[in-house]
Amino acid sequence: MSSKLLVIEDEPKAAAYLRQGLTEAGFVVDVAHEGEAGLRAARVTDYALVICDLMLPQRDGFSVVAELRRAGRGMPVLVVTAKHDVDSRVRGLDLGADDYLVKPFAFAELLARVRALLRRAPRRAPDVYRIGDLTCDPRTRRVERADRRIDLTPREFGLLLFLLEHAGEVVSRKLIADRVWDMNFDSDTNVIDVHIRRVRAKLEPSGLSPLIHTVRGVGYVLEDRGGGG
Amino acid sequence: MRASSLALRLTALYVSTNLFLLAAMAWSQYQALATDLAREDDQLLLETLAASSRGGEPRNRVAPSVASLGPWIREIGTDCRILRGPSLPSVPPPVCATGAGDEPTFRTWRSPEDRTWRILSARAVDDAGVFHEVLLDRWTDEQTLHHYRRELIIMLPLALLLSGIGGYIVARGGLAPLQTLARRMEAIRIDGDDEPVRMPSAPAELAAVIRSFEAMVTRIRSGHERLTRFASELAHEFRTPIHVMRQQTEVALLSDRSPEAYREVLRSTLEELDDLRRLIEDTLFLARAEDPQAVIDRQALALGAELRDVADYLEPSAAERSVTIAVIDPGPTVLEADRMLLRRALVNLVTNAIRHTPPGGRITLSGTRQEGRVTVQVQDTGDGVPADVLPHVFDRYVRASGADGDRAAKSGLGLSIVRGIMRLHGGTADIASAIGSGTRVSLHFPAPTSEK
Repeated sequence: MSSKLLVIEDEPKAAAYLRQGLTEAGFVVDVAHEGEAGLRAARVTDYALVICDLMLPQRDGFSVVAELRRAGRGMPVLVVTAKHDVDSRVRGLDLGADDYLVKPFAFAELLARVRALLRRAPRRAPDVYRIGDLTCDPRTRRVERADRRIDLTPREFGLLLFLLEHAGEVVSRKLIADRVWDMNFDSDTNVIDVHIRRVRAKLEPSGLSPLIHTVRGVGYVLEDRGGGG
Repeated sequence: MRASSLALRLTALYVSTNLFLLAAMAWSQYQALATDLAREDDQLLLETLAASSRGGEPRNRVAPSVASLGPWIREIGTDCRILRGPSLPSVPPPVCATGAGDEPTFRTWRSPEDRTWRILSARAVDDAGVFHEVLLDRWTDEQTLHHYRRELIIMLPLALLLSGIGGYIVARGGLAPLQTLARRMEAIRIDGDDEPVRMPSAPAELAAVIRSFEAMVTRIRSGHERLTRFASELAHEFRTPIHVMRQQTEVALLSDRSPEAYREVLRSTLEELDDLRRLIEDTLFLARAEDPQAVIDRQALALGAELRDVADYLEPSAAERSVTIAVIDPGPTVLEADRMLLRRALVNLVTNAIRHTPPGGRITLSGTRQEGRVTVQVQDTGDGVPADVLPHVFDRYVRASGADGDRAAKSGLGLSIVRGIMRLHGGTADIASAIGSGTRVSLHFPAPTSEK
């Protein structure tokens, strides 16, 4: 997937790392260091998505988003800010931003949101998920690994399904807590690790290759890395 | 406004009141005196007239020294001629044909020398055409009244001046404690812990002000102290992860290493950074919870479902430590609260309980509703909290000693956040604990204010 993204971010280090991270994730990235330049670029180039900081010199992110929408540019906009108040979130979304991230955020989180926004139309859930020798049928809730049935509790199944839906993407603990347990806050606990451990124990009995991988400091990713990997 | 101007204003008020009172008094005294004198004169005239009509020369009743003032009697003929009378340099002209009946009439005349005469005219009893007039020069009376007026003109301003000076001195004296108070207030140090004002002998009116002021200073001091402590604690909390990151980065750069070694350093840094991020977010959350204007998203929640969800979420963590979580079904209890905040509070409490409950223990979640107020309780069979720590457990960065190595337990903000959440709901949190037998935290939600 090669899509062209525009990053409007005035902090040079942050902009450089966003560019590097997104480029390594397979995107083509343009960077603008202030609102006016970003707006000009977004007017002439058909970007797949714009990542825009809210606090910019000269023209702030609110105004960039509003101006983009007024100019009839409909590409998704992901707003990024260090301000953690409901007001600026609501205002940003009102003006036409599609999503909102508060600094500091995990790069994996940004990547997941970017991918979700680029998908636009919800991805059609497959009838049966297959990762390596794991199969999972969401309707019958039947999970098999190497042709052996695995019994999961409803929560464990929910966790596995979420990981399957985001197979190949690193998902943060916070995102898992939010989407699987509806606990939308940073809990002061290792509870997600424990849940993952339980599912792992059932999914990866000795002798089978691991499917759920820990990305230290970030979260988890479900993928088949081949035998033993 | 400075105290001196307050004294001036008091003095002005005092002087103007005095001016009014003294002037009114002097005026009424003067009026009474003038009326008295006039009545006496008229009486004298009437008596003189009566004596003369009884026949014989009128008796001169006036002291010799003032005999030249009268009263004198004269007779006026029908043709307005003076038939008989004293010969004086200036006498009132006779009045003819007063026409008034037989009643005697009084009149007043002012001579060219500016002296006032009082005249009584009456028809003579024996002779129909003749009038008797009694004349009196009121010079002594005029003098008396004149002296009186002159004294007033001198005395009144003097009295006012004296009362003004006196009033000012009294006002200054009365207000002196205010100036003392101002000086004491100026000298107050916000980081001191002495008695702020120290004016035990202040007048009663000021004592109340001083008491409220001292209470305010105490509140400010304790707030200031909390803030200072908070800032230093926060700096300390920041220092640890930053120190770790600095050390490992510095050491990593000392010599060439394998990519895996660098990766390890970066991963470790990422973890430390995540701790810092959470610390900052929690601190910001607490700051927002202090804001009385903060809005929360209240909705009617089925308490039972919320308790079960939290228990379900944390059950594996508890099971790892051989602790069980039980929910006492609160029935159809409905709680008006912000769902995420309630869940966050409960997760914090249960996580805490798991951390401090030895294997084999039990954590119980329950809720009751009484008169609209809902109380949610998290009870454990843990170690309990030492009595000296108990009053401070809701403070920031206070952790019960002996917390295990669980890195998530690091922030020490869990219970502060619980209290912040309860404050946002207009409720309270309290804790009861006994060493060895467990801890119970109760969340008291107020009754919904509007019954819809």
